[in-house]
Amino acid sequence: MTTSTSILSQHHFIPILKPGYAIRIEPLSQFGYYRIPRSAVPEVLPMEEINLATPFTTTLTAMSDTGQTTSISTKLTALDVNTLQVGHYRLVAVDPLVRFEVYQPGGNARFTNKDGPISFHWGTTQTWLDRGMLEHLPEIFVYEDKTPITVKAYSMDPNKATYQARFAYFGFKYPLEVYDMPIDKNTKEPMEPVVTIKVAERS
Amino acid sequence: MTAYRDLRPGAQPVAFSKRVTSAATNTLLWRVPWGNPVNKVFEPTKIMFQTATLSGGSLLIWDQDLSSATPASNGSAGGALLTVAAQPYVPATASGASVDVVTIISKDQMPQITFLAGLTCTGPINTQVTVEGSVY
Repeated sequence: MTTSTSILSQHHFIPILKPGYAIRIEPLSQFGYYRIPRSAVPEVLPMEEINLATPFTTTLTAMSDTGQTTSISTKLTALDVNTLQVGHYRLVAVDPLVRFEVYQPGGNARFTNKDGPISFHWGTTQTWLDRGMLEHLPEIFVYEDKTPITVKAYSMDPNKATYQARFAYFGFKYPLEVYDMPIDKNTKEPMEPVVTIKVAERS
Repeated sequence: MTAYRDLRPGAQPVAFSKRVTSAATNTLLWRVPWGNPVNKVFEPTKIMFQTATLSGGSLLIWDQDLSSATPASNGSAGGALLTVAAQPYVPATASGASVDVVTIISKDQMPQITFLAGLTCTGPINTQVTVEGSVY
């Protein structure tokens, strides 16, 4: 089954792959089957912050009365990983009164419902981080530097512009090798257990 | 910081400060993010009130966004939602300097009033008002 979230939807945020595990990266037509080499291990990526505004140079403008405002939209290469690697992240807003939308790639919103993009902010992420309920945090995967994310920051504060529009990301990095997965000739399904993740179209 | 404690799920901590420069004019302390699609309300958890004047007078706060007529107001200068008592200001005497006293309403004393539009106040001139709370 293709899923955009971890199969381990538990309070703990742990690697979904171990050495020797196979992984199917969707869209399959653009990526394919890989495996973590027996000699390699997933690595923790400690929490890192990104500010979409630039202190004392570029502000995130205050929210307008219609709730919309001029967003800061930035293509982020900071979450990219090296060749034959997948990055696995959970996202947390750092500054109150700033909401974020994630796109992967460019114009495709990453978290959506029928109404459109779903944004996250301090209240909808820090709440769960405080309580250790990490399964509620937005989760993304990044393949090499082929599927970079774009993040838009919108102000929720009608009082003033801000130089701080930060979110944080943390997670794991999985080293991969291309894997020639045996496929059932009749069902066309893989004949070995495989973890499926979805990244995005190549940008 | 009180605002960071005991937040309800989904709430965001907020703090802001404003000086009242005219006792005769209503002062907008903070606009609540009421606009679509944000649609938030504000609940104060701490108010600090300080003035360095003999004019005295209370700090009166009600729910109004002075920057927009769109959101409905709740209360007025004559019918405030929150009243912070006048300062026990001690004027200078021959034996000592004047003393400003800060009045603080903390979470335990704070009535659970939600502001939908904004926080507008009147107070003595040179009143410094600092508010902490949460947006949700």
